[in-house]
Amino acid sequence: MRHLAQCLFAVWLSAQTPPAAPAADDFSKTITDLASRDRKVQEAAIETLGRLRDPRALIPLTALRQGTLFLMDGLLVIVPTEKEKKVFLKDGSELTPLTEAISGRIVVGPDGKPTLTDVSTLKRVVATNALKQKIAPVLSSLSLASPDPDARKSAAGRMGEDRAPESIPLLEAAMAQEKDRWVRLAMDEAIQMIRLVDPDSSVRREAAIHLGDIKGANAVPQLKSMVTPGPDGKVPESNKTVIDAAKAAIQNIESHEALTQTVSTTFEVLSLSSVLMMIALGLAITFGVMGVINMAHGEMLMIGAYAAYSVQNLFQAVLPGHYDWYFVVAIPVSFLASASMGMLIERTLLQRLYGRPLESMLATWGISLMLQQLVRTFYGAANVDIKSPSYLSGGLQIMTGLTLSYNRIFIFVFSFLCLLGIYLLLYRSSIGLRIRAVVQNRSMSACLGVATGRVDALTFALGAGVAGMAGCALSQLGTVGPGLGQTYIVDAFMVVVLGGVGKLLGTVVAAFGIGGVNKILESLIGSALPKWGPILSKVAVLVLLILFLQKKPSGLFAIKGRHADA
Amino acid sequence: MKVIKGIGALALVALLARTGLAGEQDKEPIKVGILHSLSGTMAISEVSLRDVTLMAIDEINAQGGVLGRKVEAVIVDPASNWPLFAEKAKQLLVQDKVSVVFGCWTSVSRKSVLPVFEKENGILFYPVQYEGEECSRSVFYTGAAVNQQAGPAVDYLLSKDGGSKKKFYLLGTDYVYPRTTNKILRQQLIANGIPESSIEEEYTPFGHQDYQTIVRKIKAFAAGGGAAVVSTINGDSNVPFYKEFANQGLTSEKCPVVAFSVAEDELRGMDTSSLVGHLAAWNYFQSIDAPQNKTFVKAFKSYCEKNNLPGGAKRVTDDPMEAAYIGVNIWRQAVEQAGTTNVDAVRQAIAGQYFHAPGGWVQMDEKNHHLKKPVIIGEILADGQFQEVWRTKGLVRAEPWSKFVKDSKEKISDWTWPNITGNETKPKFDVPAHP
Repeated sequence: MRHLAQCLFAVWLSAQTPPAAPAADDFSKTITDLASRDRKVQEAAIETLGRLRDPRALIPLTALRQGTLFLMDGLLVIVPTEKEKKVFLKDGSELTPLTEAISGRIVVGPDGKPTLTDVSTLKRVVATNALKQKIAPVLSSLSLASPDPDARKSAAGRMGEDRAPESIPLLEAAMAQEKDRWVRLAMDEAIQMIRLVDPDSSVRREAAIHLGDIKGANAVPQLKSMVTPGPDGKVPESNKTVIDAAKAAIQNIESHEALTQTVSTTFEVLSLSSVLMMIALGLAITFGVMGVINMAHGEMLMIGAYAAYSVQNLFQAVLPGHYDWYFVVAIPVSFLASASMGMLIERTLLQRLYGRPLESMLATWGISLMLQQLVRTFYGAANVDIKSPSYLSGGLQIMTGLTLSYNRIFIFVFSFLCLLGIYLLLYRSSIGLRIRAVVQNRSMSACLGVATGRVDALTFALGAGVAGMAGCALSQLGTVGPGLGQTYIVDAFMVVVLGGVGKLLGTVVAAFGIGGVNKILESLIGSALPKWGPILSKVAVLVLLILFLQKKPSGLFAIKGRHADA
Repeated sequence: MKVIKGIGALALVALLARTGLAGEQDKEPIKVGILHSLSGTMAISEVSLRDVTLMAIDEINAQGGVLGRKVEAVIVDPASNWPLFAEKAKQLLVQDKVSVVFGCWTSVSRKSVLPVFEKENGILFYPVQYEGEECSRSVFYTGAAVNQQAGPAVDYLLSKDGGSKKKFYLLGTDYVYPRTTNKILRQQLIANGIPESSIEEEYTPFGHQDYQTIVRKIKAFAAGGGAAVVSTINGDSNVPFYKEFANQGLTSEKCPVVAFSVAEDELRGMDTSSLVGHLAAWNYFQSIDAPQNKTFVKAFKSYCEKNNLPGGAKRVTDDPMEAAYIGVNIWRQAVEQAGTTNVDAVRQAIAGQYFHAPGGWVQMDEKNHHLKKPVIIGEILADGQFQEVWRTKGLVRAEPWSKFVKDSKEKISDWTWPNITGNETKPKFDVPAHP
């Protein structure tokens, strides 16, 4: 079998090797036919491309399906879909560089530079729905050779669902060449799913057993439909041994799914908790250490996120080749942006309001509204888009059916690095010593020569800066807009209050407590009342929190001693 | 004689005064109100509607105004605060005496201003898709009702073109629009032979950011193929949802998400790479290939650039913006036909108006105050635009009272005599019999 597969793959490869001149003409003629006004010619061209299996067809066919294939004076061109590549003129017209559909070359002018063409002068090649239906299978078989592992995986999955026996040799040939273990597994699963409809019962039985071994979750509905009695009371599968094998396979896969669920719930708890900790750390400093009920904390997150957005735009304009690195630069920039805003607020306003919690609360609330409107004026009221760098997109598959996304892993690690940094600064450095001294006894510290005013400003700036970094990190998870701060402020206060004001450890424990309870309740409630999981778990967390604070008003880790009342 | 002369003189003076006044009134601009949130959480969506409404008014003024009078916009900011919407609406109608109001986005803001418009006899043009189950005499709905957006989208997913989907995950934010829409969609799916066991329904609180658990459930739900997600997720929750969806390895090919609240303007603020290939159902897309649409898009971009609005020429047009633009133009046609800005006359004249909108011909229904529009399914491209994949044949008439909802099946929405009702099952008056 293996031998046959390799032979087939060799044949397939030979079809792909740099074609001789007549073949090239054949290919370009077929591609040109795609733009024909006659639907029959278009259909024939797609059929030919399906037969040729030329990987160069992937781009023009995708373009045709997406509607980005255009005709420019008889030349087939592709318009890029990335808006960064386009130029928008003041009169509202849109210029774009073009790629030749057949050669894949960028269209250049006489000076050798890419020509920019007004989109409205091009003529779109239209594909009807029926035509798109025909393109889809050709695309997925071509995608089996795509450089993108996700594309290969989803092509295999599609072939498995279509259950066409003629896909088996293709899949086997591709599998023999495949290096990525998870793609190979997806291909194997697809092959077995197709074999489940084989007329030979021993093939079906083997396929079922094999699917159980590789935990092919995608096959479960098919396996179940084989063994559950239909409306006429008859089980669709007639062979007893196949039924047994299928039942065993279902059980095997489902017990694996239970394990997957446990592992992924654990990861969800860790991830949500680290997000909560990240947003609360800055507040733990400004509110926890300094006692300022900082309602503008959310806006410090927002400023950090917008700083990241500005850095991204700068990279797009100045260093488009090193775009991915913008995020590394954005982290310190967002720290500085929020820290200087924090310093400004502290020096101009808050230093006059120490010891007056209600006034400072109202003042910071006012500031939060002003900052929101400021951002609306400068950046517009709409959300802005931050593109994740390639190393934070996608996920790491650790077992069948479980993918951990890179951005969440990053936030988990990053939040602990921040925590470590703050700990070292507060408890292992001289500035930290001064901060703690001022917090414990302001007048005594002043007597001993600590510049309390400067320490206050620095502490507040530190808290704001940490919030800024959190905003930058969160831009990889969610929306960035003027309302970003409002989304997180309640959660941040919840964590700090539960943890006990003034205790870093309390913040950590509270974040993990709230995150854990929330996620576990969401799972539990979700399985009992499907429509209500996320809503009721949020309500439950709030109720539990209120009850807990009734019992222990000063939170998990209350500061003991005289200065607690100061 | 003297007396007669005196009377004559008086009459002359009075006549002069009147014509003088009338002449002055002719030149006086027609005031129209714009009631969109420019601050607060809803500013994100509503600012664009203010921009396009002002552009439409500019265009009208450049063509000489309406009835020879300039149109002047009175802009108020209800600040995403529902009770404030009612206050501002009252201010527009009573204090500023505007002839018509263009405004609102959320259903709750519309419900909040509704009593004001009904009491003060005003006209409101409402440009956003909504859940239906309402038909007010004072409101003209230029956005889609459920059967003009969500319903056809589900029909598409069930059809061969849409991939003959067999399992549906209805996912939404927890408020009236998603809940009502999903109630209707569930009935529609069951009527199409989808068993209850293949329909999942789930809601998240407003501003929900953590979609890990839900996406994991969808992943398990989609195993084996034939599944689709119908999303009524609103606002800021969309980005975390789509990101999580892509990062956990789900693709549009495996399980497409069809959304009713994601348009070009929202896509401006999203990293579109995780959305490519997913679907949205609307009545208009910026990418529609029609000359009048190209003019509209270009005009809007240059309007933003000229007025130094944030985004400038990179701004986009979308469905609610087209609906707002249609509203202004239909009002203008109606005023010109009625020859007056009198609310009752204009209201009658609005019914049945045709307009060659950027997306093609539309018509205000003769009876139910809703716009007849085509329904289009679009696929999201990497540049934040949509590629049309399917559209209904002809215009779809709105059904404000859904036939899939138990209590509203029988209701009539017909503002012509003798029905004159938006919320009853029987005509209000009997047609008089021959005596």
